[in-house]
Amino acid sequence: MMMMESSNPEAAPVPVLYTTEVAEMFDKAKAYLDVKRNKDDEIFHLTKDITYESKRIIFVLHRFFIYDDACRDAKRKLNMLLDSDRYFLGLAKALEGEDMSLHYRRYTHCVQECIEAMMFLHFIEHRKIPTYEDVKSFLVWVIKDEKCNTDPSATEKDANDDDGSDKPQEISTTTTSSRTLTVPLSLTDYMLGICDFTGELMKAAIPTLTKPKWHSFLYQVFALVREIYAQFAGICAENRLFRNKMSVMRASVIKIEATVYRLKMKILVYGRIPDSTDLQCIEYEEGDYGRGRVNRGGNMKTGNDDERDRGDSGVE
Amino acid sequence: MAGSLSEAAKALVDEFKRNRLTELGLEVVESMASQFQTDLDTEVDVRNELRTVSRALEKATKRVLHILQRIHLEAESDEKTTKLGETGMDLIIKDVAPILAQIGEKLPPSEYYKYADFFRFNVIKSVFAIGLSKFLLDGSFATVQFVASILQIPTAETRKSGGIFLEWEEYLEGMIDVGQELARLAKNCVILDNYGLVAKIHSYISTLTFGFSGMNFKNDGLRRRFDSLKYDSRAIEEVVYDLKMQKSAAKSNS
Repeated sequence: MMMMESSNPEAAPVPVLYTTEVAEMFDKAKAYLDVKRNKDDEIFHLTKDITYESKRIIFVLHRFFIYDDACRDAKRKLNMLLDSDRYFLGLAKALEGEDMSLHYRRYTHCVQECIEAMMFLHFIEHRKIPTYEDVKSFLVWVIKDEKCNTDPSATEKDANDDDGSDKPQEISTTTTSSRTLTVPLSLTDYMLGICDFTGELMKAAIPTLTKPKWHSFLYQVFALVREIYAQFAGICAENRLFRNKMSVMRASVIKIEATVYRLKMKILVYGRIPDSTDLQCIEYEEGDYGRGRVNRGGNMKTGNDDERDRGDSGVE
Repeated sequence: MAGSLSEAAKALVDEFKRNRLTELGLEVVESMASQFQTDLDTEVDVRNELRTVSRALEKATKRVLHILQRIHLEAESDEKTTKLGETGMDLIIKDVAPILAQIGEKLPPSEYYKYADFFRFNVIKSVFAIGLSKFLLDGSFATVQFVASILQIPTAETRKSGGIFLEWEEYLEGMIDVGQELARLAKNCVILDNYGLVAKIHSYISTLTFGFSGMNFKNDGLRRRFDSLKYDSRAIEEVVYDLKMQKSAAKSNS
């Protein structure tokens, strides 16, 4: 208690630090962060909806064995997904003029999911996979803004309010202006989409074993998935983005190969193509394929043979 | 065995053997795979370069932080604190800013956020060093414009499309670090009999907390850091309160 004789906290005048400059700076920070987070929220909700809708399209497509209009339905849904403000067009509008690297992590999954649906549809229709450029061209929109310019200043104001376009002068002079919107698609996204797509192919291909009408589909899937796996294995194996997907794809490949092997064996045993009336085939097939699968990676269930796959484990 | 196969079965077996590469559009996969490989290689190069430069940045910021740590031992007079502040600022201008410029060159255009993790932490530390040095120099508040001008990078407002810039989050986190350091310094000032600095620290942390309290935080890292700032602010207020109590007690005793 003896130390404080000389103490005087108010000896020197303390400067006022909360100046207008500082206040303005904090206001700016607040505005910036608010805008950034609102944008992030908007994109988050859009991508969530797009992912759900893409998954739905895939479910519709899986019905193509039993339901003739599955492709048409899926196509209609896909067009809606691409051109609706609630889905991809909305996302493209939200991403307009933004720093893509900031939002990439948010929207990459929904783009992959949509590519998966697109490829699945394209494959069922044409038995081919769409190229990178094809898929890219789906994610480009040309928007026409039609303005009646009785009052140029009002038009200019409208243009700014409606779409945040950065060329108000152009709009005020012409009746129609168009701008191009995109959801940027990287090659990596496209390839990750292919990885997921092989899982869907596997799911679709395995039931065809007992449907002679679809055996050509089975061998096309067989050829395609094996080729994709062989190509990807060389370059993507050590990439962290692909690691899980590659082990899932490997499981799919092994399942498809086991199915084709089973079919070949049946042909050799019976001397003809087995069909759904061959009760023996169906029983034999039940729970038996995929025996040769190598269990690796964390995504797959482990367990004894009986509990193991019904053709859908190990796939998201 | 094949002799016993039906025609359809034979055809199917043949189908499996055929090479269906072009028919399925598989040449697409092949060309894409090679393009992907080149993309991957360039990205690996960028990452390696950035890693090297970021390591240099880490070294430089560590050195400044190391020197600024002396403040807790030497804060007994204004001369000493000003000198430390000068040293810190000089080191930032001399060592850190050129490295940030290098990072800006190495960053691919408009991919700031993809690679920001390489240097983000050390940019925060540099902001901290500048904020603390500025306080030690003249007791004033380092605004984002000031910090950006010292680091010689644009702010989020003045940035052009590519390259490095001072993101608001990084600036704000750096300033919260300053608050944390000042909470410790306030107690050490009392130990070193430098009571004038305590009042300055109090003014500083009030400004900082007031500025932050106006913002809308989401439940993210920055919000959690702001919570810690509130505790730091309280710690400093307690030191000021203790001094006042001591003063009035001394007055009533005499």
